[in-house]
Amino acid sequence: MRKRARIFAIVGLVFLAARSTSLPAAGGQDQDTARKAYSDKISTTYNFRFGKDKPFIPGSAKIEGDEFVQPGAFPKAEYCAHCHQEAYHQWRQALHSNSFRTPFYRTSVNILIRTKGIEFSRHCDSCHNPIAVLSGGLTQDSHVDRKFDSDGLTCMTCHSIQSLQSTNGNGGFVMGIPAVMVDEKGDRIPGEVSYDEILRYPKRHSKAVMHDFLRTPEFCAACHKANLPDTLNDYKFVRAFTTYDEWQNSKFSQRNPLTFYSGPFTTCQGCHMPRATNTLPDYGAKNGTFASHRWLAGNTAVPFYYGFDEQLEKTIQFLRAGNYMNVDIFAIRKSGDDKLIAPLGSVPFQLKANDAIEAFVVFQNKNIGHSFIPEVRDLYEAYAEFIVKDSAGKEIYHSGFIKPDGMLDERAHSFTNRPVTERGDFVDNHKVWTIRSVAFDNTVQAGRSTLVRYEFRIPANAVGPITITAKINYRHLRQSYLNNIFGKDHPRYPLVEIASRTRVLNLGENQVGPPDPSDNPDWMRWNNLGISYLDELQYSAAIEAFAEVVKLRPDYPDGYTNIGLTNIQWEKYTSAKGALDKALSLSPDNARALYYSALIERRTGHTEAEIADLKKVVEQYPQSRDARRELGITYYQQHNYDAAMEQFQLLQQIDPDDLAAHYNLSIIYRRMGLKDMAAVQQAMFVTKKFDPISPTYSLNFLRQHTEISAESIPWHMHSDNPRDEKMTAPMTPQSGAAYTSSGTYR
Amino acid sequence: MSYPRLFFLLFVALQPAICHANNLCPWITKATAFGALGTNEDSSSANVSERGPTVCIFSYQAGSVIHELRITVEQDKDPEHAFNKRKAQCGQRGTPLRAIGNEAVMCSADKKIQVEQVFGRVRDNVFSISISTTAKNDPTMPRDTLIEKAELVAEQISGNLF
Repeated sequence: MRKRARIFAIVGLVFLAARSTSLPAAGGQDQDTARKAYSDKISTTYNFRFGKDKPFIPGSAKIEGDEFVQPGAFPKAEYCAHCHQEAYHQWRQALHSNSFRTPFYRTSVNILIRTKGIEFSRHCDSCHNPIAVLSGGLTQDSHVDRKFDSDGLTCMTCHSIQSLQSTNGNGGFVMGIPAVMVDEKGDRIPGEVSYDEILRYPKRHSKAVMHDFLRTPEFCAACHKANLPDTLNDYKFVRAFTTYDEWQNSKFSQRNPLTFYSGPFTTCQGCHMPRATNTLPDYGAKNGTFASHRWLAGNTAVPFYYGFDEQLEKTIQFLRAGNYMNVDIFAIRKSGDDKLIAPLGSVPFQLKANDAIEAFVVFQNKNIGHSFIPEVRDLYEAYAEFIVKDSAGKEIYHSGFIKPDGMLDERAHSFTNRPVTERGDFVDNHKVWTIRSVAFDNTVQAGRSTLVRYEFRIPANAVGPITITAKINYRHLRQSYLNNIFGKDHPRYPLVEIASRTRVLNLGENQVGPPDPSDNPDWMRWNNLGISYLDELQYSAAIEAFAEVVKLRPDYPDGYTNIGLTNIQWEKYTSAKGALDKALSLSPDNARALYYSALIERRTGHTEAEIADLKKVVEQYPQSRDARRELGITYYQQHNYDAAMEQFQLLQQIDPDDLAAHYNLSIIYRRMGLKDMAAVQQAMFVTKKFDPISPTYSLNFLRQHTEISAESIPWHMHSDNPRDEKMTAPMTPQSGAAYTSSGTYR
Repeated sequence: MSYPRLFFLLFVALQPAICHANNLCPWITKATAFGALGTNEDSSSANVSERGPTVCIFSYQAGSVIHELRITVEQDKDPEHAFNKRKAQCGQRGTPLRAIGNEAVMCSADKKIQVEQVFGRVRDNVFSISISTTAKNDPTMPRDTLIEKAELVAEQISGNLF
């Protein structure tokens, strides 16, 4: 009898499993049972390629209970919209709701699915479609109804996350079973509840869906940081993008003492989710304002494709607002004359027809809390445009134009990168699992500047004045990628001018003129030039530029620190010390100067002074990764392993990928007899360390692409010299086809 | 009960899942297709068949009413011409669909059979979708629902064709 009962129980469970795939969310015990039955059913055909206990690898997403969850456990966005109309309206047009379904994403991930297998797409979809991942839908024999695809990251994906893993990215979150309420004991009630119930207990609703970490940059790091693990690429760990780290290293985090400029503490949410007056009723509004759920950033392609005009216009406004990038036509130099005429506008000079001119344009990433451009920069088109015209408007020189077929001038200065395969081929279509090296990466990090040089000759018959314009243009996405997605017959996608500056140069006398309101002060212009030279390894020129800074601002400690830093990189330590001492005499507790002083103290064997300096830095900046790393190294060299271990462990909390931490901890742990921990750190070091062979792949690419190989050289020159290929008539940036009526985006 | 009988019972219970193990229609999961028809893939009344490599048909019978989803995907050397040819079949009934493939159009329902059709194109792939119910006033598949399901399926198909 008991045996028969057991058999019926088994059979019953099997039937339940077969029926449970589309069960709506239910409460408590029923929900657990239904989930178990669902998970068991999915498991029977699921591809556990990476191990039974690692169902979501190569992504990092996790879920409480370690079982698959029914897609229906996630209340739909329409359910939330009942009380959150503003949020729903914004979200529907935003990138998060369209994170999966767009052709721009599907084209790439479909290649992964077709070539390696759908199970590998768990890597991408941990962030692009977590419900598909966590429900076990990403397997060859899928039994998941994918109707949720069109909602991408729906309300109850973000608002169901219960905790964060490390800031390693790739979906580094722990999902809970979605609940919009907690009960009187604080226990989560899975699934939907009545609106009346929520309105009766709004605090319980808030407790279920609003965690403090939602407002932190670490929450964004879960997906706005990515790496390519060996489970994906059968190679080794390759860092993909590090937007969170870039923020952490920027002035806006106030965690890094080494930034060139200081600024107010601003999180990701501060820029991408600002509060604004809500136009639709929303119970989440406070004092008539609501935190934006548009997440405005750079993507104009998605709203253009879907016809979300409001989102598109706001995105363009966002890109052009905020003084994010600064363009400075800083200097010119006449051919054959070493003298730099700089800063333009502040010094008189003469020009004449037939002069060969070098123009120095400084592009500053002034107010972005991450690089320009961030993330999947191989897919974007961000470039400098430089135009010289005579008084009749006739073009003398033009770099960075769009050709009639929509393609960008190959010789334009690009703020993108070029990842390459082991054969030295460009990694087209974002096939990230084939990336082995990066031929060049010309993104401008937060707070830094880049110098772009142009060379042209003023025609002998030119009539002045000459007008020089430099711009930063941005297209989401690269034309060749759009062609891959749609074929060449797609409408023209929006091209946005982010920043520009024009200067008028007379043929003859040029007097000093007033600055534009958006111009940086001259000391900062010199400083940005110095920063550019430093990043281009032009140390002598950098020191000359920083010397101009301290001439104009003798009270500015960072001017001297910049000279010290440059000398350290140039390995002129005595000169560095003098400059750093000067900085510290102006500002004794200056963390930046103290940090670089500590490096000098190390060189000169003054370990106690070195430790004292670094301790002062970490007291002011406890999350300074650089100071923690150096302090750890100093303690290690002193054989003070406990203190070193503490610093490296703290460093790993700030940056879980720090190579020095992996390397040193593997040794320290082994010396302490902690062999298992040592092995973990050693393995992490081995997979994350730079592959010394990879630069050869880049060289292969650059040899094949001479038209852009100069971009990989920091101090390259763009020139109007005759080119190999015939150039067709350039076109000016213009809006997407659907927006021609509203004019250009300039 | 003996173990062979137990296995037999388990086999019967799992039969729908085993029979549907291979996804014959690569542009959509069976669960999604049958979900659009208002059922699930484990239903005994749910059937899937293919006519050649380019056509798959999902059907579901509830009493005398049959819900059917028919998907055709073909590569064409002149895809725009092929798409326009199909679009012309809609005549005045065609409504352009935004953000489905390169281009797509929805044809409103026939008078006799409640059916919604979508013709679309992704690069050189031309696809058509028709979703229908044999009942005139089908409460489970009113016109709005048919349109919504046709769009959902069209998005799935075009998404997988990119």
